[in-house]
Amino acid sequence: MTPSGSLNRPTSAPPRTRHGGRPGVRQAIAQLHGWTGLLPGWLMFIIFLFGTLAFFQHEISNWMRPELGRGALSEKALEQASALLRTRGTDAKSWSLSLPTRRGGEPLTLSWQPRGDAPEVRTTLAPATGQPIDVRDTLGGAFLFSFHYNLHYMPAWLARYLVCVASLAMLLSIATGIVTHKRIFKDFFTLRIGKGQRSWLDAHNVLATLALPFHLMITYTGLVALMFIIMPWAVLTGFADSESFRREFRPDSPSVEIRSDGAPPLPLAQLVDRASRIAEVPPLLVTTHRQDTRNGIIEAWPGLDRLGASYETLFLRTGDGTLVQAVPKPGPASSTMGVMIDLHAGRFSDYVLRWLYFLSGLLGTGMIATGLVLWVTKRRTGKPPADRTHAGIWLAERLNVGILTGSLAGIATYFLANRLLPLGMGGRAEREIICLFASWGFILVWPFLREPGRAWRESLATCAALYALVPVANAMTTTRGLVPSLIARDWAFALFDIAMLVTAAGLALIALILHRRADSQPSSPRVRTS
Amino acid sequence: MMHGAIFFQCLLGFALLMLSMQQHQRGWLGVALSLPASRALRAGGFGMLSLALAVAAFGLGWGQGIVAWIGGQTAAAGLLVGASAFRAHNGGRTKR
Repeated sequence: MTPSGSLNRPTSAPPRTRHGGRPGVRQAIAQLHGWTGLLPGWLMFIIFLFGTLAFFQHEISNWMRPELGRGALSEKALEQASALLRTRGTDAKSWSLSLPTRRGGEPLTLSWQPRGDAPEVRTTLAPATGQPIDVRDTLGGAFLFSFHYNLHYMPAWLARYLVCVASLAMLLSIATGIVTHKRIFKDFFTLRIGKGQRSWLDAHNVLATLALPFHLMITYTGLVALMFIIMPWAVLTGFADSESFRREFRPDSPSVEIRSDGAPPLPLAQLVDRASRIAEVPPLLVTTHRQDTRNGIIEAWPGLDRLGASYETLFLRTGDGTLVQAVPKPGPASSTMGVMIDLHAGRFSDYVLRWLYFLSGLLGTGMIATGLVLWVTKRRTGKPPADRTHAGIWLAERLNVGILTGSLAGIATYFLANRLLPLGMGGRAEREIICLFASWGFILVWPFLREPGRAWRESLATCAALYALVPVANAMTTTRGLVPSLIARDWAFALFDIAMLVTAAGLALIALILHRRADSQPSSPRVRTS
Repeated sequence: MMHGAIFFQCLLGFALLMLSMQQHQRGWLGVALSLPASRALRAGGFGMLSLALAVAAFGLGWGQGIVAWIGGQTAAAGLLVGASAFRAHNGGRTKR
């Protein structure tokens, strides 16, 4: 998979094959690969990077909310929640329980809407003990997840359009890359190190082919997840607007009349247990309606951590926990879409499979990064070399530094801000995000002020320092630093800190290699040209 | 346990496929094998990968099994590419 070599030729003469004829189909496809890879490449890099981290979004949230403590949701906590709602929410119109997934990362959040105009009341409990806790104001891993398709500082619909266009280009880029890569099987195991541009191309090819099924799957299923954005016409033909479609697709209330069974309501923990048994996964959100009467119902949104999980909301009678109506069976199209979204999100994965998802995501992120670097180096070092002042190459080279390393720096700063910002600060969650983009913005500007080779080394070294500081900040501000976590076998925290240190070491190593090469070849801007 | 079995079968399968290729035979074994031997290695490699798929599908079900099988292949092939590049870079016996 390589950007087109023919683009290195002077623009005055049309590209020719070695036989002197017009460029062949493969060459034209290579050109297409170069451009479809470059233009949306920076956005795709961001989507892949943040999407890859999102495979561990609950684990990241867990680290970013150290107050939650250890342990999964317990029956005792549900009993505490039930007791609390019965004492403090007696006059409420409805109660809601937001339950953490089996992987944690969220508190057990209770909310109720008092009658009249009073605002909604919310309180958070520790999932394991059920004790009320104050959790720091943060969006945690959920922000990294939502950023990979909603972006930020722009309306969600616009972001999703951009993400869809970039994904379409990515799909095209993968298909054209397969055609362009002539030796996909012969070079399957080939990675030549230290051979300049050849090594970049080998790395790009290897990263692409090793996880090719994943790259195709994740891009295609990502488009399926957003298909109502790019293909809204089927919905708009049958429904007045998207909201009426949503009500039909995911109804807010049962379609049958609720008959009172006259029994007093079951304890909340039992109702949650019934919902778990019916959906085969624990629910994520439970809302009660008319809970103070004998014909109340609860609405349970099922968890999605099972491949082919049902997305249908369950409606249960509070008296005996039976279903108000049979769970509708989704049609073939809806089931297919559900499975594709499950495959994309990987929520069904056990820990080994989740690491494999993460590894494949990293390979995809690396594939895009090496492709972007190759695009510039091929044009810098082609024969004859392109004009060094060419505006496109000049800009691409700087954007590569600013986006590839800037996003990495932003993520580390997000984690640092989570530990270092004062806990009582107003709008704390948004300020963490501001810190992410502020450090990203700084690195984005840096290569426009410095020579790009130097900017690469300096920004990579900065990233390495930021990642290395994350475990330090954690140890200084919480009791769950790396050493205490290892002693307590608190693997969620220990592995997070170790991941930060490994990332820091990897980035420092790359910065060091680039520094040595710059020393040995002062005339070369960044990459050896073999 | 199941993931370990899938991974090692994929690793063995890809190792056989790699050794069925002349350029890697020279690098890893120091000699180029005969054509029938190479073909046997290739068949063995594809056989191991197929066996890994069967184990994955049997152990985890077709849905999750295929995902685990593809993930196992990525990890196994990645390890071999890394090992091969490291060997070639650090004084491999033959250079292409």
